[in-house]
Amino acid sequence: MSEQDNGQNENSAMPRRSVLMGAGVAVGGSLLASAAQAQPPAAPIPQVGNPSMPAYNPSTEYVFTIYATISGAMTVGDTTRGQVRAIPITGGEVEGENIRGRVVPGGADWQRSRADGITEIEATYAIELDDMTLVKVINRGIIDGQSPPENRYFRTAVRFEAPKGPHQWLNEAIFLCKAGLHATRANTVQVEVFKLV
Amino acid sequence: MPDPIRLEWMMDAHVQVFRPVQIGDTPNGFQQAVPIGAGTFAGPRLRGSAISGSADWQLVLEDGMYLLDVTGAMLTDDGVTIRVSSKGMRHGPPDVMARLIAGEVVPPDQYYMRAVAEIAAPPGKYDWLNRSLFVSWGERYPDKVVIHYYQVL
Repeated sequence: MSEQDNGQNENSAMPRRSVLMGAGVAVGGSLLASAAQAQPPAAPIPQVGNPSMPAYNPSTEYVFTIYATISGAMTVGDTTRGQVRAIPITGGEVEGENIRGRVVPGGADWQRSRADGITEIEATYAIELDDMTLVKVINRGIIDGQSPPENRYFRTAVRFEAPKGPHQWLNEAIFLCKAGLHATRANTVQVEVFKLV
Repeated sequence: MPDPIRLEWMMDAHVQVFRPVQIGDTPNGFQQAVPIGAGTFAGPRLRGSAISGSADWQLVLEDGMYLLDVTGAMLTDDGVTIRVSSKGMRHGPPDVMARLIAGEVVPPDQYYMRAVAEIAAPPGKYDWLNRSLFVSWGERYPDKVVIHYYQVL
């Protein structure tokens, strides 16, 4: 799978600790104080120039879509940090060109609706790929309740925890999601997942 | 196939960094903190200075992956203080990572340094920062980092 290309080769871990230890500093007092004692001055403070576009701009590449079925909210209610609820995740599918699987029932999407109309979301669940690999999914982001309903701002950043092996690429990139209720399937959230390249 | 998520450049930050303060091996990995000094940031909609005194708390995993975690504050040129929290990763081929650790200048396209940023701003002119997700890619130099931030559209 091409996503593995930018990772490190397996079985070739560098002698990390010895290299790191060689760069260490004696610690005492604050981080900055010890840093200042132990090393030459840092570069001059960079000055603000005219902002100009970076030479390189990253993009996103579609990888797969998660269709997660949900059931009724469990409402914690009005807290000092907003309206808190959890949406149980009851199952679903994962569909992509090179990847297929299912959503394992039993996760939840914990939401906090703030006074400014933003709902913070944090969904934790598992997907099982078609080779039976389980992958932990932690998906955090926001829904802007003030954005137009037909073009709702529902964006998240997902972190996968996949076992070492062929799905290691899931651990080695930032993934962004565009999400929303599925247009036709009832009680289904559609989460389109993109790799940040 | 769905349209890609678009990213709009928000700002570049240039920030001093110092040598890592090392906690060493912990049950979660090799822990160190890279102290962050002064800096500046500039983009089409905001500019100002980075407030020194934060650190990038890094966890180095057994495969050489660096997990990055930094929360800092910046002061805009019109006097507003904004919090920027970034969590991300840096990894690359072992020889490239070894050169970075040795303090060499390595072209940033040889490694993957990306993060998700959550920004908190007071109500007013910069409220839009509370209503979006942001991502960044970074360039690591021996004594500074250059971070390019994008709004996730």
